[in-house]
Amino acid sequence: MSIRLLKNSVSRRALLSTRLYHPNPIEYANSTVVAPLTYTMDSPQSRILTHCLQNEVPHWGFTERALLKSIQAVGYDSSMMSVLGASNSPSIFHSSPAVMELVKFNLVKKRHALTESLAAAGLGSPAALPSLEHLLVKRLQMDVPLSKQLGDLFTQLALPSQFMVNVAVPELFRLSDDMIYFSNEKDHFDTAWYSKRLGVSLAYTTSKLFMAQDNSLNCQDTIEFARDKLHRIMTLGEYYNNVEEYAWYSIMTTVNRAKAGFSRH
Amino acid sequence: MVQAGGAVCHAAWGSEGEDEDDGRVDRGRGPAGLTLATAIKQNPVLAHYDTTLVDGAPLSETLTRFRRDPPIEYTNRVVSVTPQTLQFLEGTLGVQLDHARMQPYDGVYVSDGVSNVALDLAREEMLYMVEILNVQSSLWAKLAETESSAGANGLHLVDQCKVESIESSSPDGDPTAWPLVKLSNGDSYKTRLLVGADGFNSPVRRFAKLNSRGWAYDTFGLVATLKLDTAHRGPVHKLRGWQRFLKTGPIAHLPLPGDNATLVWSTSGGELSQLLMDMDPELFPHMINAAFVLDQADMDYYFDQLAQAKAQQQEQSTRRGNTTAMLIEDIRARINDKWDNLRDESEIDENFPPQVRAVVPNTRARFPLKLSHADKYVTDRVALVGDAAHTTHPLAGQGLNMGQHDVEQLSRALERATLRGLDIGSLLALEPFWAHSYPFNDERLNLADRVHKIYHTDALPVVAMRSAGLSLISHLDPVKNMILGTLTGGAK
Repeated sequence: MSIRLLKNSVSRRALLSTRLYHPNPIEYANSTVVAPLTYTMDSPQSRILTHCLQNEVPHWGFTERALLKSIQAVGYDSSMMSVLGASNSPSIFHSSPAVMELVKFNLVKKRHALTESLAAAGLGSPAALPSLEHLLVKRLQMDVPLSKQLGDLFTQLALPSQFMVNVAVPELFRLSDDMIYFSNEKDHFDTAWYSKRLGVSLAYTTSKLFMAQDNSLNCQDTIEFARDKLHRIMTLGEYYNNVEEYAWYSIMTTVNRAKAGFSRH
Repeated sequence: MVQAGGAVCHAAWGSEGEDEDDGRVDRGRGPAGLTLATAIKQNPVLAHYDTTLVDGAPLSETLTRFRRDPPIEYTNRVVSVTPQTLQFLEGTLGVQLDHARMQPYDGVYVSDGVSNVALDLAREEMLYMVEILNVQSSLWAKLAETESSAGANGLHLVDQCKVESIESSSPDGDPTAWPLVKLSNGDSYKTRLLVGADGFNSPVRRFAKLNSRGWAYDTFGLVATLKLDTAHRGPVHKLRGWQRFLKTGPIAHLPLPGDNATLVWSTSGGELSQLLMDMDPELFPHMINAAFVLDQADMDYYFDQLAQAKAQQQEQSTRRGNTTAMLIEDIRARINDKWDNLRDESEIDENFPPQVRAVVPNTRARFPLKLSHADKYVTDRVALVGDAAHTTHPLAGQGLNMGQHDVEQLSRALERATLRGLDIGSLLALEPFWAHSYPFNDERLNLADRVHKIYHTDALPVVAMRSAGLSLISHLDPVKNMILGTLTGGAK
């Protein structure tokens, strides 16, 4: 073990002593924060926000009151409120920067938790990865304890503001992208990548809206709705692909027939 | 060994990796290669070319045995042959097919499984059902005769031999250089023209970098040889093929001599065809009868029951036997019920195929269906024929006929090129073959593909439109004749 470490450090040092002319991951330290959060998971901010999501939000919702209770419970002064909101610009149309941070933390942490184990295991063969449906359902189930506060959360996210453009929408796309990347779904390198991301985002948001109104036990109806919705969107994608394939085939065979006609001599 | 100048090396070998599902059906081992070799040797203009036929299968052994001592039961690889193809084989090439083992028939009764609208296509001896082995063994006999006759020069039949590699003989990659074919028995041939009749995964096509496009149908075709119940039928019933378009795919039942028939049942998705493959041999004939008589809802119910029985099979082994007995009873009752409600007993013979009594053991096999069409069949020194150039859905029964048509066109192009003093491996000599075959094949591939697409659904508007179309066609004789013309080989 120690030899391997030594070797590792030697080769690393050797590598660092030579200058690389292209960006290379080895030159950079691993990030300790989960972007776009600016603090690590063991920082005071994280501890307060985690406590708040677990204990206060289900009861008090995404409010300053919930935050204040958590700040006190974890044992900090109430002035921590301004520290929490430090990375968000205040806006007269939006709630306090600290509440925006709470909402952001909720999204980022759950997204990270969704694929953490998969990312650590490394991406093996596609067969070993879970299905997209599995990941979508898993993500929805994470919000079951908050199901009563989802209406509130949606308002925070959908309020037209800088926060929506900079945080809410990109975070939704990042979530969809992660779900596609870490599932056995086919990856695309053309515009289909955007359509698929949009489709999955749509399935996720509509399921979340459904969840906000869902009164069934453990949100069973939502899960069913999400499965159905995802299936429909994927079928739609399949239709589109088949039509495109058929159209292309028809065009090419027509061209070939014309060529064949010209080469009759 | 290096061939002398003017060689045609013709490679036909079964494609590996094709039989991932069932080893018993080797697609891409059709008779196109044998036909081409015969066509070259029978043509006085082409006969002087050194010709080598390479095949991976033990052709000489299987085909000689089939010719000398044919099996009592019919094999499951049966194709429909058009009069045009038959004329080419027997008339032009002088091949003697075993007529006792083939069946001409006078029409096809096509019906829609969802709306029950039907189209009766009839023409005297419009098609022939022939076993592929019958075609192959007859061609083989003709070739062997040619090989042994004194006048024939340069015909080499190499079987049980794989092609190891195909490469260009020119180090600087000149496309007009002769290709070098290395065989697993150590021989190598340098040839003026290399013809690929080597199936869907054609190595010759890959060597020539000819692009092929198309898609898999996510559908399996299941074949079997059937024994018909002719006992309580009138002495003469119409000899015709029967095809019914179910939501899950078409099922066709085509006559063979005596009380024999052959089945092609296409089903979408691997699961359903696996269910049919695993089905109790007692029950299978009844399911075929049900598929031609009963409604889609009944079929769905049976498949559902079978899937459930299969799922529970691990728990109780007796369950399967019970299901079989129950379903057989149910199918019988429903078919009788349906027949009792007909106006007249003669309608049974008119609208439904003869009942299947049994399925010949070990003839059930399945294979995946796909559409593919190469953009071009020819390039310098290379030509493609048969499945190497195109594959199709078997619903129109055109696969073998397209391959034979390719061979006819290719031999015609070679003949003309030779008469004009052209190099038979040059693009100038080969292009007319492609120019004549491509539209012919494209028409038939499109026909099968469109019919497959139109009948692959039970959506109400589509069913209404296709049913209206079908009944319209059945009243419009010119349209009917046009379809018959296409199906029977494009005889104008």
